[in-house]
Amino acid sequence: MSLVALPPLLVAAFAVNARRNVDDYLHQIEMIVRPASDGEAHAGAEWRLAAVRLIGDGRDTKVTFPGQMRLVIVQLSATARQEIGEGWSQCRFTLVDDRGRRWLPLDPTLSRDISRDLDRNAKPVEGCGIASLHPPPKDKSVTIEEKFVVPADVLPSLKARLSFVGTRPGAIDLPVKFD
Amino acid sequence: MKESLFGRANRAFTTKLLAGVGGLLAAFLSFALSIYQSRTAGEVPRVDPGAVVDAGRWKVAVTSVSVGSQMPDGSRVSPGKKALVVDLVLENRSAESSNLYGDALKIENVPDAAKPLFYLMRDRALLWDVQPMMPEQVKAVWQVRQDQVLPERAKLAVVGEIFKPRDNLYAAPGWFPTRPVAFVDLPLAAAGEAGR
Amino acid sequence: MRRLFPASLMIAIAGAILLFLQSTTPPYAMLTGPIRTSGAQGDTVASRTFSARVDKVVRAKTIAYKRFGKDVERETSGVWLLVAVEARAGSQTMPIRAATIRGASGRLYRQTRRADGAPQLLSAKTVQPGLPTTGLLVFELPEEELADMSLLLSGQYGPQLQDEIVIALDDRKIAVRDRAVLGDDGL
Repeated sequence: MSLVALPPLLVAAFAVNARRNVDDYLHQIEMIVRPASDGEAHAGAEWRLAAVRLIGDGRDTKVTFPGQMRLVIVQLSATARQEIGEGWSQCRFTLVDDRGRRWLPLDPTLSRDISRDLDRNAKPVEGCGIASLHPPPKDKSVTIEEKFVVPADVLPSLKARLSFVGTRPGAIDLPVKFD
Repeated sequence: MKESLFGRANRAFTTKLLAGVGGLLAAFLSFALSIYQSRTAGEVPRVDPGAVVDAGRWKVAVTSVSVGSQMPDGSRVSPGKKALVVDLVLENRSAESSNLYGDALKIENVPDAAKPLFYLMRDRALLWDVQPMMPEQVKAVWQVRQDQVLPERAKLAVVGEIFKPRDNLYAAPGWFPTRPVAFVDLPLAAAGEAGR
Repeated sequence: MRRLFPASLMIAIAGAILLFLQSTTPPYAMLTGPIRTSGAQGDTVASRTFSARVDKVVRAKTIAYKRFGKDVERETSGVWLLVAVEARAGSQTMPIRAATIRGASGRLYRQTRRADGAPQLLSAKTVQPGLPTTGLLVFELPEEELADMSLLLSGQYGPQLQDEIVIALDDRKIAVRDRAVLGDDGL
């Protein structure tokens, strides 16, 4: 009789033990993606695309990269709608295309070197990770920037995807528009 | 009546006896095994400088030791310290590249010797991985305090490792440290003649 | 007594089945090990997350390159093996830091760090989706191991439930040079 109870007990024990692993997993993936809309706060702030720079085709600075390689610099501006506190931790700022391919931002050291090469005097804009350590107070804004290396043929369909550990599995998408 | 009673009691008694004997035997065996394992190890051999010592994963041949103020790659020792440099030939006898030679050599008679840094003499630079079956001339450097009194003869221990094809936790192959395999006694060259 | 025989038979059969299951379970290291995809030199071998193609293999006694403007030469007691690889990332940016050669004896020779600073090393690059990246891999191994070699590539060393590409290198397609100069345009 007790043997019959064994399979459901095993499943229950597994489910209880796996709950934390499942929670961790859900906080690492981006499943529910919404386009960013004005007035809607994500992780306590309203996000919009502030600036986009495309480098490598000779039009913005004379630098040209071989083949399809392009450097895309995306700046997002965030206006805090509430006290953010720790809400921006484990920030993930990536570029995605319509096929689901994803480009991760450049290494912070390399990014800083590139900023310095582009403009010796300007202070480099912080990336998502650093900005998450001191988010802006309520109703104040901050700009974050990340650099990406992407092939030229995905430029028309690029979207900037943003998520934080507190919002995942949810994320927001901002279309990247080039002038 | 009396006989059958006695018979049942006899059987019950033998059963209890057998069960007890089994348990006692198990306890005794485990006790004897732990005593056997803690017996004093056999004499660790003393080898001459230059002799190749088989330490499991590594084959080590210590040739000389010296004291200096310069690291083998030309950089200076940290302020307030001096470098104790051991010349050796290191060979990886395992089946994959490894950089886990840090524990293969120990200095027995200098206290507070921190983990040594290894330099590849072929490149005069820090040693990374040692490839299997390719012996390399290497220098191991211990940084000790400038005012540390060093003995006349340095006593080095070569620590062995044993290979287990399936370890106790993951059933994966691995190398596990055992006791020292050999001692090497080397005269310590005076400062000034060393650090080349 | 009549019930004892079938009962002990059942126990023996159950014991035998369990023994069989226990001795044929793959070890934990294999269950959580790399997900291998194999191929040949010159073919593009594709795994789920990345793909690679071996373009050129050179063996040399000495390698030379410029590091921070200074000339560097490296000698070895064995042989240098230089492999030019073109890698593509499938769906996400990834570095390919782990490269190992499995020699004739089955021993694993990891990419050497002695050539750090050489131009075009694959381990210093990050592969972006849509942008094929060419890079160089440098190995140092004894001459006896230079037959029946396989190149193992993965994102990191010790891949656990991650892709690993295994490319069998063709002994006849290895160029021999006395001194290989590593320049900005590869080999």
